[in-house]
Formats: sequence, structure tokens, C-alpha cells
Amino acid sequence: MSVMTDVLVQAVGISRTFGHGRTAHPALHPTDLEIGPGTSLGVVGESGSGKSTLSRLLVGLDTPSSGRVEFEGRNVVELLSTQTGRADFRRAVQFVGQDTTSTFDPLRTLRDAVLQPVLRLTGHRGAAANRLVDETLERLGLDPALGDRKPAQVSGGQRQRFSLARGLVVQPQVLVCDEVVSALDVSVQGRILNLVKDLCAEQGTGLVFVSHGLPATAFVARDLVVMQSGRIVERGTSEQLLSAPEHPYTQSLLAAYSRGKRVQETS
Amino acid sequence: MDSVEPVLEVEDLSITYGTGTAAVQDVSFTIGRGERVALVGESGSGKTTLGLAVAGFLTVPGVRIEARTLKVHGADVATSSNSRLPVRTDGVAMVFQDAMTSLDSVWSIGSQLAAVLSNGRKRSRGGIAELSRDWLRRVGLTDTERVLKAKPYELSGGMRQRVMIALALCSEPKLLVADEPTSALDASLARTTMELLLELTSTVGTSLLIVSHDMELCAEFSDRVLVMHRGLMVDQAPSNALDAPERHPYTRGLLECIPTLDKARLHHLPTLDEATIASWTTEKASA
Amino acid sequence: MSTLTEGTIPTQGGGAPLVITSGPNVLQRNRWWILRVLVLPVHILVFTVLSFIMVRSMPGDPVLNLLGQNYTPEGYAELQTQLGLDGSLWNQFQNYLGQLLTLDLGNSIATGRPVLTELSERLPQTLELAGLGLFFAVVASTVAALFAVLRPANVVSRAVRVYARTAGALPEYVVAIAALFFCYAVLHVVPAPVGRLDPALPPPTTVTGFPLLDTVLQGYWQATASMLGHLVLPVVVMVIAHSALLTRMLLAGLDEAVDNPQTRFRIASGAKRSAVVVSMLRRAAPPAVTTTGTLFGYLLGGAVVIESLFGLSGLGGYAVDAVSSSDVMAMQGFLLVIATLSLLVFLAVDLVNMSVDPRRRPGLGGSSS
Repeated sequence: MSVMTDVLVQAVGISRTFGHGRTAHPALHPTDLEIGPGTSLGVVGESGSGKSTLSRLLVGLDTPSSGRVEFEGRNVVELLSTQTGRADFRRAVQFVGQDTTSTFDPLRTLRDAVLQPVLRLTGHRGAAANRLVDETLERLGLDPALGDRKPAQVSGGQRQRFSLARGLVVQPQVLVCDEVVSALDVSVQGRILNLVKDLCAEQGTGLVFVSHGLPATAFVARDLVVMQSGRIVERGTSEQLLSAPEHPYTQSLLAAYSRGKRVQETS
Repeated sequence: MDSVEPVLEVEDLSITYGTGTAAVQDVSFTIGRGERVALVGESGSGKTTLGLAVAGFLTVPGVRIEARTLKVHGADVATSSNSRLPVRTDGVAMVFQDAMTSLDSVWSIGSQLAAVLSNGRKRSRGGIAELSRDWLRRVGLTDTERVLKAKPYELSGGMRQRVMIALALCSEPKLLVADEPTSALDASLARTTMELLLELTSTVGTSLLIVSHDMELCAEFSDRVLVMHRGLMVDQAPSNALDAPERHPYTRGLLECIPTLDKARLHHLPTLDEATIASWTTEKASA
Repeated sequence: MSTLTEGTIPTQGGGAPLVITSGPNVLQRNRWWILRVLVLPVHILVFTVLSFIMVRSMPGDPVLNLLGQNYTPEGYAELQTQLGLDGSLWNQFQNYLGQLLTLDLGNSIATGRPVLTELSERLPQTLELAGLGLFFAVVASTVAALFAVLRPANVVSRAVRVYARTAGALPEYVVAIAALFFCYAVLHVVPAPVGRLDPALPPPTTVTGFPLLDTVLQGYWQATASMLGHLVLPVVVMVIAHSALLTRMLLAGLDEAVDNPQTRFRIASGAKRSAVVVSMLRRAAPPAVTTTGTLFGYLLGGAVVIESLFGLSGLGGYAVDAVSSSDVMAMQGFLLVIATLSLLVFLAVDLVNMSVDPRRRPGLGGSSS
């Protein structure tokens, strides 16, 4: 696995258990992970694997039951309790999730939603802020006129692109995406996957891409971790895992997708 | 195709919600006995609307259904009714994407099975109980006594799925419409579910209409694929020849877009944009 | 905890094992209703304190009421002791509580008879009236709501919806007076509102205390017919005045149930139509069931008005008399009985709700997958 030069967020022995007593459910077993601007990591697993739990812990959207997450050496939980700490962290680490309906204010325009992080987290104001928003929207292939609409007035694919725009507009050092293409049509998925891959490469943003779709994740990310039942069962580059998977679970995942070859082989 | 009457006969079917544009426009196709057909398309293609209409769920006010022919096993399908509660087409059953939200949460599995098994045919309570257990076994559930007494929230996700299929098939319908049966599932579970659907429908002799956006998976588990885009049926193809040159460009374009393992090594994934699709679909292709 | 086994085909990875609450620990499983029942006496005690304070704070002196204009201080003190109204308020309360434990509600100041006896004579009459009102209100609402939802285009359905939205604003006495005016004064289709029974007929002997029931039990059919005739209008008035709320709740619940994916799948699987409607009702029932409880409360309160307007005997009349004669013992007894009744009704409503819909029981239910 490639060496991480710049570690921004470090997870040390983090685990997460939901519920207590008889109904306790360990969603994530103690796990270590390092991410930074040079990261290009895909996290693959089926539902219940703990991948979403892991991604939320990394960006401070949840608190670990044990272990700690550190941002530039500082504990994320403490960091998020102060306003400056929050601003510092969110400026550097952004999260984009699958849900685009409840994460947008239904009464505000989409453009406004993308502008907010700029005003809150950066020093840009007025014309400079607007220019930043315009550039990001353009890069994501979004017609500026769409920005004047409300979230309910655009398609799912467009909303997801606005969601990504909101995450990328502050030019974070790391972008964590959780199931951002799963709910989209196949014809739209390719476009968004291409965009995510290109933009992160261009801006020098580290990427953590969480998804249950193995092919999409392997495409977008250089390195891959495979999760099962709350544990990481295999790590390596995408290339390694696709061509020579070692863990039986990884092999079974590949088997589930290998039908693709069959269809293409007809003449 | 044998000369036996087709299970589903559709000719020039159009469906419109309210006063807007048609969700389904001039669609024609048939499904024969024992055939497995996939109805594939992206969001807005009208595939779900078509599936619902065939099953009889669009007889509610506000929906206009017009067709030259719309028959299941020779009998006309209702296109409207004065009751707010839809009447399902005789001989057609339907399963939906999520078993958790579909199964009645306050009744036991046994009572839900009994409600179906006692409909129409006169059966004794013992007969119904025996049949219920039989159907649960057929869908791969072994602890039948417990399942019969259980409520849906007491079962695991996989078991709920099987119960849903058992409920749909126990009335021995001629046609089963499956609306996005694998959309919420992981890849391996999706395959398992499709295998189960296929196996069960063939033993009961039910034809299968799968409505899905997963063209690849459908192609593997069906005889024919019907491709829809914006209400039009642009292609009808045998499943093993989806990328043949005589196929509609939209079909081949969609196929190319699907992220597969070999495409993972590409620098960029192939994409489809609206303008290109529009130029293709102006020449309506039908089988 | 036992788990249900699955067929040979593997399940999705990482799911939590599911739970079936079979077998042991009956106490745990029934915890939901046991606790509710146990907490009832506590509520009654709290209400006793509150009602005592309220009643004793009311203006009016029962001793003076009985004595009249001319009295001597000694005569006053003597009567006061006789009635048990001497001593500090706290002492009086203690005495009262002590009496309650032996189910003695004291004696009415106006009549001298035990309050409990007087109440138990009248309670069944009011209960019967309110009960009849409730029963027919439930039946009428359910039928109307079902029809309105299943046949939306029908003109009757639209009328039902308008009624549900507006009729709740009409107070009982308005409906009662209007009904009496049209049906009695103008059309003469109902008997005069001077009680339950035609004055020419002797009353039935008391078996259960419920007047209509007693006539049936004795086979006293003439009286039954007469009572039914006298009760038609009061019941109709109660139904009209109170069904609106219930109909509204049922309409809302059923409207939702029709579009519910569960109803849709029931139909899609080929369930009998009757099973589909029953399952819709069951799902729509919980808020309506709670409303029924509240409704019973309104009906009990409205019984005072109905009983006065139609000349029917019952608790309502008793309470009115007690207030005008400052009969504190009777008032306290009345309040306590009504409160206990209401609490019992609310308990019954909760238990029915929780048994109809297991998801509402605290502790049980919940999914895992």
C-alpha cells in the first residue's frame, strides 16, 4: 500500500457499538486508519459491514465508543465542541452523504446552499465568494440557472452534484463520500464518478469513497479496503484486490460482480 | 413461442397522470406462458407505471389508461374503478422493493397467508395451515411454526423477503410483477433474490415481469429485455444478445455505462447525455 | 433467546441476530399492562386531594344553607359537628381519606343519605345513556368514514367530509334544542322530553340499575319500547354532536392507510377484500381509539346537559342539585366517581391500543436486520 506522506486525520482503535445490554450491536470493531490530502481510498462492504459507521466517525459526525479520532494531533470530539475548532476541522474535512433531500434546506435555493460553507468557513466574501461558487458549479457541469431552484425542483442526479459542490467549494484537504452514487441512474453514475475522480486529482483533495458497489469504488480510488461485519478484512491497491484478492470475502464480492464479463463477451 | 394464449397482451398502451405528458406512450408487447421478461429503464422511463397498471393498481381517479389491448390471460384488465382501493388484476400478483414496508406490521405471517389462501377458494383451516407451511418451506424457510406466528418485525431482512414472495405466489398467479426487487440489496443478496424468484416462478408455472434499473442483472435472469426511456419502449431484445449491432443505440449505450469490474481500470467511465439519447429516441424502435 | 433459522442460502453479512420473544418470563412480556394498572390508584389519590381542595374552596356554606336565616352560634356549631364539618381542613381531609378506604363517601348534606348509595342509584342511568351515545357514535363514524374513503366520488362521501370538519363546532345543547324543536314541537315524531318512560307506565323493578337493560331482563317490553322512543332523540343528538371528531380521526387514519404500501401489498398478494379493509381499520384505529376515550369523557360531561333538557334522571341532575345546595359531600363524591370512571376508561383505551398494535407497547417490538 502506498505510503501516506501527510496525515491529516488519524483514527486509532476506534469502535462503535449501538444500543446496550442485551441489544448491544457492535457496528465497528477497533480499527486504525490514516487519511490525508494524498489519500485515494475506497471503502467497500455490504450493508452492515460498518463502512458508513467508519466514515461518520472519521468526520466527527459520530463519537467512537472506544479509541479516538485525531485531527492534526487534536482529538476531534474536543475540537468540535468549540466554534473555532469546528471551523478548522470542517474547512479541512468535508462529508457528502447519500441523502440529498433532508440535508438541503427546502426553502433555500441550491446556490445559497453551496454559498453557505464559503461564508461560514472561509474568509471569502461578496464577489470573491460568488466567484468561487460559480467556478465549482461549472466544474461540476451544473447550469448556473439551476442554482436558483429549490432542492425539490431538480433531479436526483443534479441534487447530488450540488451536494458535491457544497463539499468541494471550500477546497477541503479531504473529501469523504458515503454512497453518493448508489441512488442514481446508471447513466448519471458514470458522470459523477468521473467528476469526483477528476476534481479530487485537480484540487489535490484526498478522497475517501464509501460504497457497496465494488466496480465504482475500484474505479474512483487507487487504494481499497474491504469491510465485513465491522472489520477491515483486506487492504491493498484496487489493482491488487481486483486481480489477486486474498481474503475469501473479497473473492466472493468479486464473484458477485463478475457476471459483467459474460454480457460483454457475446458477439 | 407456442400457440397457447399469451399471459399478458399489451397493444398501444398509454398512461397519463393528471393533465401532464404521458408517463407511458403507445407501448406494445406480450409475455408468454412461463416467460421471464425484464422491463428496464432509468428513472422517469415509465417502467414502474407500466408494471403497476398491469397489476391493476392504477385504477384510481386521476390516472388515464388507454389501450387497444390490455389483457391478462385473455381477460381485459380494469382501467378504472369508482373505488379508491385498487382491485388487483385477476391472476397477477406483485412484489415490491422493500419487504419491511410491504408486509403488514400488526398481523402475524400466518394470518397474512391465510387471508390470501382463503380468498376465492373454499379451504378448511387445517388445509390453509398446511398450505401455509408448505409455501414457507418452498421459499427456503425451515422454522415454519415460528414464522407463522411471528410478526414481520420479528424476522430478519432476508426472511421477510422470502415471506413476501411466498405471499405473492401462494395465490398461484399467472404473472408475477416484481417492482425493483433488488434495488435496495447488496450484490450477492440481489443475485440470491433473483435466483429465488426464478426458481419459484418456474415451479409454480408463473410468468415473471421484472421491473428494474439494473439491466445487467436482469439480462442474466430473464429471457427478454424491454428497454424504456421517457415513456417509450425503445427496444425489445433477447437477453443473451443485448450488445448485438441490431440493438437500439440507447440499449447499447446504457449497457456501456454500467460500472463493471473491467471498466474499473479505465481512466474515465463512458457516459450518456440527454442530447445523444434524444437523437436516438426520435426514431422510435419497436420489436 | 432463540433465533429463527433460515434456509441454506446465506443471509447478508453483518446483520444482528433477530429476536423472537417466545417462552420464558411471562412477567416481562406483560409488563406493559401490569404497570399501567398498578399506577391507577396513585392517580385516584392525587385527584382526591385536588377535588377536596377545590370543593372546599368554593363559596357557599352548607351549614348556613340548612339553617336558614335565624340561627344561634350554638346551633351552628352543633350542626357543623353533626355534619362532620368542624375541625381544621387537614383533619377533615384525614377523616375523609379514612372513610374512603372503607368505601364510605360520607352522607349527603341535603338529604342525609349516604352519598355512595345516591350515586350508585344514578350512575347506571348516566352510564347507560353515555354508553348508548358512544356505541352509536362509533358505529356511525366507522361506517361513514369507511364509505367516504372508499367511494370518494360519491356525493354522500363529500357530505361526510364536510360534516366531519364543521359539526364538531356545534355544542350539544344547540343540537339538542334544535332537534327538540323540529322533531317534537313541529313534527311530533318523538315523545315529550319528560323522562325516560311514558308517565302512564310504572317503572321497572331495579335489577342491575340500568333502566333499559332492566326492562329487557324482565321482559317488560312495553317499557322497553317506550324507553327506546324517549332515548332516540338524546342518542341522535349525542351522535351528531360528537361523531364529528371521531369521523375526522378515522378519515385521516384511513386516508393514510389506503395509500400505505402495506395495504398495497395486501392487495397485490391477493388477500380477501374484507381482510384488506380490516387491516386498514386496524392500522387507522389507534388514534381513533384514544379519541373514543376522550369522547366518553365529553359524553359524561354532556350528560348533565342532555339529562336536563330531556328530563332524564342521572348523575348530571345530582351534581347540579349538589352545587345549588352547597352539598360538599355530594360534590366530592360526584367528582371522585366521575374521575375514577374517566381514569378507568383511559386505562382501557391504552390497553386496547397497545394490544391492537404491538409496536406501541413499551419495551417490546423493534426490528433488527
